Amino acid sequence: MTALLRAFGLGFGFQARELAVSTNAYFSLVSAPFFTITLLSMVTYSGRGDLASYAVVAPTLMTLWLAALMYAGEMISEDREGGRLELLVASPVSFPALLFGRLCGAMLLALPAFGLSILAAGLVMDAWITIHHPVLFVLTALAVTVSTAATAAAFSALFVLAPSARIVQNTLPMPVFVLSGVMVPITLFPGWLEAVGRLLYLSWGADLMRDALAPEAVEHAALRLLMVLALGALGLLIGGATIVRFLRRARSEGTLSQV
Amino acid sequence: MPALEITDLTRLYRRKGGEDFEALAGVDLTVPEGEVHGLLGPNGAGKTTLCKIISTVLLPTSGTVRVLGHDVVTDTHAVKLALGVVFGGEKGLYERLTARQNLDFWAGAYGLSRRRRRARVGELLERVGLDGRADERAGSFSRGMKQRLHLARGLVSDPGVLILDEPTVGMDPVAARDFRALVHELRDGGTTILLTTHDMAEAAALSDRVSLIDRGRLELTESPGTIGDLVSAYERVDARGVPDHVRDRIAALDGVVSVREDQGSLVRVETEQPDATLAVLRTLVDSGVRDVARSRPDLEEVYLHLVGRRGMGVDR
Repeated sequence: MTALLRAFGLGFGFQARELAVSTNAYFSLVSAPFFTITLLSMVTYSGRGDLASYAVVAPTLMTLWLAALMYAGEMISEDREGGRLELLVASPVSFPALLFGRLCGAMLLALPAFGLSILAAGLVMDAWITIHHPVLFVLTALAVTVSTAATAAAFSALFVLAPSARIVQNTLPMPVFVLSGVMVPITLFPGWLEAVGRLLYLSWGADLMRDALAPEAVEHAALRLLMVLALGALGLLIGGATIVRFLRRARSEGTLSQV
Repeated sequence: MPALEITDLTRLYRRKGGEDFEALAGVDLTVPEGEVHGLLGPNGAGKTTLCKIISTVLLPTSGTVRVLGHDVVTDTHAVKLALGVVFGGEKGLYERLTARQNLDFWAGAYGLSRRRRRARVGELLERVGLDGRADERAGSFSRGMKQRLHLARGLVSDPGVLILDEPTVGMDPVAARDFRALVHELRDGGTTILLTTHDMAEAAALSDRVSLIDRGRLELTESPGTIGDLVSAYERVDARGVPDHVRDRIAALDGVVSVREDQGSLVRVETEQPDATLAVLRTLVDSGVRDVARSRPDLEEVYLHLVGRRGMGVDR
């Protein structure tokens, strides 16, 4: 367990350090305030100012998810192309734990999107969002961030193995955004589709974040927070198993260094 | 207990729509602790495949490999802790990070605590002569500097066994000399080193024993002195404007292995006895041939003599 935590910490610190010198990565934040302005304009035009929280939460979660997909798709591939994957596998560090730590570190990139969205709403649209349950909001944001990294771990090995990884990577965001109720409340969907949405940690996270912004008391907050983490943990388990399987196969076939 | 114990090691690669390729075929090798063992062979001979299996990044098809008594398939973690690995080439570094950050990361991957990491990284940077450039990005380094950083990376865990796969490729002569000094220093400290190289002089200068590998088989394992004797027995003489009757006379001399025409008018004579070269030179000069050059064959030509002619083609 200590070794796993150490690998996680190593990966997190390493990625945070790399992020600090990767200025290009920050361009992915540019879209968040523009999404906020667009969505806020739509809800304002429709006379649904009560949905303003969607305009702030959605761009933030979208930025988070897009960053996760980007890093999930490229982390292993870049190490492979850079001749580092073999060296990592040859070292005693737990590769899945290291990767999860790195993905969590990479998610730091998306955190400023929260602030940017809130600022854009206030400065441009004069819609200042109040966070009525700040502790819950922060806890949910953290839980969603960790679960996003965990889910990204499940995708990372898959992207290396899939022959058309790039297409999957580009196609995945929209179905996930819709099914998880990031953009549209899933309660508006037919029952069976809502049930599908409930399997995604993001749907629980998005709901909880919006509720944390609203003045009303939040029902079952702890349980819902637990669901976010539990579904994230499931993603991590699947991710860990997929990565171990990928490494075993690559070591067997001699394809660890092949790009 | 030997540092490396390789028994009947075989590795096959699947080829789509074709026969399997045998990269290693029944390799047996034992390297005692503290030995510097040179592994010589042409491209595609199986050197890198062997290094990858020892370093646990490739599974063997059959046979066993033990590193300080630990099996590379069943006791992988212990093997990883005991091994330092330096694969050849420029790749393998995080180019956006500094030399110090790179080493710090790898030291962490080998389980060193933060405090030990700091001390070890500083010590290694000094040891490979990069202490003055420690806080510069690895991506800005020359090939030779990257290679030195690789070496430092391979040493972060102070391994009992060090695998060096073509470690001096791209190094300038001064850095290569320093590298050799470092290898001597490591050997004096008891580290076992498996060194693959194309450079026979390097292998001879550094190794206690040298193995010659070709087409996945270990052809021989000898001391560098014995290999050196074998190599020095072979020489070649290149000449232009050699009349046919002189060529026939040379071909008939004792110790002449081959006489063949290369690149039009160039005649290349290969000998396998020191006296034969002298006889060839005398015959040429006495016949009025003045455009003559004598040289040692390169490594690949020596392979032709030692392991049989199979052309210069690479198997894979």
